[in-house]
Amino acid sequence: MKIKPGKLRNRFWPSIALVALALVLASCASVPYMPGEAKVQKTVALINSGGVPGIKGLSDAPFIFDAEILLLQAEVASLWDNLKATGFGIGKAKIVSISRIGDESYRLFSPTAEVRAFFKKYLNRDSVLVTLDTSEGRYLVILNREVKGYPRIQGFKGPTK
Amino acid sequence: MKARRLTFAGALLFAGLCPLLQAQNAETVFTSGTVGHKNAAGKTVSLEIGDLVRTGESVITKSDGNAELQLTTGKSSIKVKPNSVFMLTERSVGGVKQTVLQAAAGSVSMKFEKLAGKEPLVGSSNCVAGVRGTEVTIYAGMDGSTLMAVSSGAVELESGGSTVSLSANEAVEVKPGQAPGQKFAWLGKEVDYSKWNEGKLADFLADPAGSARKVREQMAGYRDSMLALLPELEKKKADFAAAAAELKRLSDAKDQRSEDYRAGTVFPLIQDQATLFLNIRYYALSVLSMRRFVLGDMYMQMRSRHMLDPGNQQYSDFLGVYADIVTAYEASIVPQLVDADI
Repeated sequence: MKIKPGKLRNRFWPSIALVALALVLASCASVPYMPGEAKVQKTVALINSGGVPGIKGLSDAPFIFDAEILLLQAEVASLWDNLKATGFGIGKAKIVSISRIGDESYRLFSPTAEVRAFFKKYLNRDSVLVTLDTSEGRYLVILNREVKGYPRIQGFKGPTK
Repeated sequence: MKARRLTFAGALLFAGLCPLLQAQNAETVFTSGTVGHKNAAGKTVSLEIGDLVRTGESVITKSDGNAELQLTTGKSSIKVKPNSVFMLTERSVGGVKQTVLQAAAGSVSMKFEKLAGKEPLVGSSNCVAGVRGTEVTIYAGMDGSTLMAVSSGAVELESGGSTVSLSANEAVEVKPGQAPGQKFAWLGKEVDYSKWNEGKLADFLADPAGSARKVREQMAGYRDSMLALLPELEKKKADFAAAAAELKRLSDAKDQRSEDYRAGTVFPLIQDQATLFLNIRYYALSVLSMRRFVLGDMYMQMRSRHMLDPGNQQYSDFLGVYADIVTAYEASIVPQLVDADI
């Protein structure tokens, strides 16, 4: 039986479209995460409202707090609970930069072998470093792919003058 | 020539170390919730039933996580409770290698029945205990203190240069860097770890700098024990290099004394180095454990409570002791660690 070219195109079009869609999705997944300013401000607002512990998986261990590596989930939960209890907030933050984690980024947290190891082992290509300036000083926040619409928080340091 | 000599010495060392490196492992028989396995490469992966936890590795449970392990020799059960860290380590005492099962954070229950050969040691980051046909639960507090409660069998606990013997239905609490406290009757009822640890947190918050000083004392004890071994190791390394060169000379000359020299001089030097290396690692990892799960937690508690009043006197006093501990740790312990340990 002879198939006309037009019919062939009609028959295979859905498969071709599916393959193309799969390729697009695959390429999206392989693009490293980079939050926009709106997402960063949304995260700051969440921190200021004390809402971080309320979103499961948003801030989990391992976590870096200043130069301390927190390996237990209970420690990270306790950190956010304490901050909430004291009424801590980053305040009105100006975004200085949103950048990928580089080989030397760990020095911004602490120039120690431990912090270098943390950055090497526990952060990945989706981890980004956000620098925020506030009236209290500078904050560094490490964010990663989103959980329920918010970038995951992998650590923070600050405020430093 | 130098490279050839090194290769010969290296091969000798490796051949001699192989039997010494055979270690006690634990097999995973049950998990529920989120349980991590920090493997020898330092990567934390999900712990699955059937996975072997080897010396130098650890199990980390999240708030929903539980794990049960069995040592690969003898009948045993190790239950790692939620929000806990269990470490499998080793040390050598009098040339005899001993497995040490540590609750570095949270709580771990262990039960041993008629183990083939020597029984392991159990403990936390601030104490170690010998066991005999024992069921024991170890609670590791945020301030570095340990509660050891015995359900059956016998335990001999050592800390701060003192020992205490515990029988069934007895327990003892040990503060970091100090001798064990008075043992007390313990009726076998499981301690509510969260409540107990809340008490430890309250003790810490009442005197943060004082608590940190106790941790500093404990860490200094481990550090001094480790530092005392480093010159010994260097001397053994030099002796071994010389002995390996002599053995090669005898072997090349087909001297009949070479086998006796290998067995009588070279192998004992290899064993001595392995023992020293094992203990240096044990002490370094014990300090790391305290630094990570005790001092790190203390810092987090103080910093997160005083973000808005950094001038607080208690906070400042604590930070002074904390900085002192971290400086000493960076100088003496970190050089003995590898990235995989972090």
